[in-house]
Amino acid sequence: MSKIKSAITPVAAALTLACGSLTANAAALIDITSRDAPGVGFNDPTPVAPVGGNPGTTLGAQRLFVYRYVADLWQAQLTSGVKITVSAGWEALSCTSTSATLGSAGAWNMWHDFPAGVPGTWYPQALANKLAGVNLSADVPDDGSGYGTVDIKTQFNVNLGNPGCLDGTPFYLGVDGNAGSKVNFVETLLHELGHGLGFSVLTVQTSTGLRVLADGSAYGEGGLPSIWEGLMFDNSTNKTWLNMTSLERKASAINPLKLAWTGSNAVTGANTTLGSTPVIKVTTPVPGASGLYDYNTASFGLPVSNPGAFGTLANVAQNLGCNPFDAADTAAVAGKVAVIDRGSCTFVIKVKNAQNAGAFAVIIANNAAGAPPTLGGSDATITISTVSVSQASGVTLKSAVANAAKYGTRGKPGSVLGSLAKDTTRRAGADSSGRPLLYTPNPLIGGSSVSHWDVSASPNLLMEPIINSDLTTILVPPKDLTFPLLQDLGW
Amino acid sequence: MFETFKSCARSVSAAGTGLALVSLAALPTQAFAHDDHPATTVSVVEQAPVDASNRQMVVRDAATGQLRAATAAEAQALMPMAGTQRSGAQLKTVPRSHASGAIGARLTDEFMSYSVVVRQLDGSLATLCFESREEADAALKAASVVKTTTARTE
Repeated sequence: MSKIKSAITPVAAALTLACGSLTANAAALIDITSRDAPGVGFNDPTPVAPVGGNPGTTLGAQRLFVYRYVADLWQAQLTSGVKITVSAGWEALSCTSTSATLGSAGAWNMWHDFPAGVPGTWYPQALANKLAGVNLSADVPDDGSGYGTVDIKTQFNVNLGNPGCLDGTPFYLGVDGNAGSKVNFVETLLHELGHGLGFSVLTVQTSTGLRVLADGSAYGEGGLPSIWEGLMFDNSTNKTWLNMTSLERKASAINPLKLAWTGSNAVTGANTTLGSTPVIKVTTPVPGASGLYDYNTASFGLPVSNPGAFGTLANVAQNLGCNPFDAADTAAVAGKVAVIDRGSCTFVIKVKNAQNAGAFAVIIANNAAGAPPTLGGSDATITISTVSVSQASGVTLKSAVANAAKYGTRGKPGSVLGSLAKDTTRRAGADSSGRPLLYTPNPLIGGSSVSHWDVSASPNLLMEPIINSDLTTILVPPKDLTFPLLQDLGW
Repeated sequence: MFETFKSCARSVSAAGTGLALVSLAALPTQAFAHDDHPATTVSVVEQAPVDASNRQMVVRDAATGQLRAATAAEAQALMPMAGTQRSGAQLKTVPRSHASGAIGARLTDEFMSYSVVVRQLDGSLATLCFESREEADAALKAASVVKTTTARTE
């Protein structure tokens, strides 16, 4: 085991030592210990050129520098009287030539019923130690691994970029954000350490709603809640997870856009961090149809520009848009925004057919209850914009289009006009009360669910399940909500 | 490196190997309060080590002196938590305790968050975070993370 020293200045370090034991409000110290064997990982002697603010001249030294750099970013935010311990290693993780597990991290110990904690509640060790004011594992013998008592365990892929492991695309080890086509290791590690520090519901099995039992041996009825649960409020049931049955938690985990975080720090931060919600603003003489409609975007075609013009909506009658449009549909959509129901064929087929018919843009109406879906697919020949709306919105819009003509005059039939706008009364990624939303897609997405911010947040946040390329290393408002959530837990 | 969950379901045989006597002192005394099999003596045998929810218990019958499988009632009485533990997956955690009375557990890699990257059809990279190794591996096996986890294509 080797220690990776903090980048804090010698003066600061001396002051820390002079003060003796740390106080709860002292700046946290994060101690990183390597598990790597000689010549591997942090000890890899392969010569490299300094890159993006990383002065290391060996691969191992550069990896070490980034770890320390990220730990220092966290240290700048956290306070704790107890040193935070991280075990770090570089290992051969799952790979193919086009995909790879970058790494993993998480709390390695957890506690309940410690001094100053909420009774009967699971906490990750780093936070439990801070609140208790002692290292709860101090007298626990190691389990033989050499890292059995650490707060956080991490491991990253030592082979990334090598043949057979995301060929030719290694980690970018610069700290300037200019990752280009490489994988930004700073953001990846920053995100994963966030989970280890407490950005995770941790002890609730989201697929069942069951909690880890008090002895830590299993998930089961009668388990203890996570410190997260009192701050997770489902707007459908008007209950926090703390007051739900396991079945209710299971349902809440797949209740899109309804599970809000109620902690005051994150809610306050959301007000200055999250932008207004993008919507389709519909204007029409048809009663009850004018208003603001939530939409989602597509991975193909021309990105939507908001605010911006959209156009007159038109319904597609034949085959859900899956076949080349007939004369009637072509006449209906030419120069307009084609409204097409989801189903029967891929989104890109529908949109390509609409584009070929002269449509200006496409709205896909969902065919199942829930939030507007993100539209996946790829077709480089698609040059128009596409958005999706919910099933309920689709029904309203299609009905309005079908009935609009009679609300106009003989010379100017009524129409349904859409434009892209912002709903300034709602934050993107927050509920109607301004509380940031947790990620609860339906169906459940592999544990990404719940322990992340919802992907509707705008601008993008560090702790969304997708590690976006436009992130910064700032963890607080008005850039990010990571640290406010941790503060709500007790950090 | 990674620990994995394994089923502990095994057939029970009094003559089988790997059986170990367990002291009654380790079992809750109230577990016997409702024992409706008075012929059962105090000797309890179980496979060890096994996960709590799947442990197979045998008892020494007072009448015959032989080991036999515990009846459902005996098993329930001997391990009152079994019913609840069976409702969820077993964990290979390691128990912890602190002088303050705090109770803890060392976790496993199953509690880790996993970052996965996939090169998409257009050459760009999609990086996603999963809270379980199984889902991360499933994403790697899929043709496209975007197709399987973040966006439907139809």
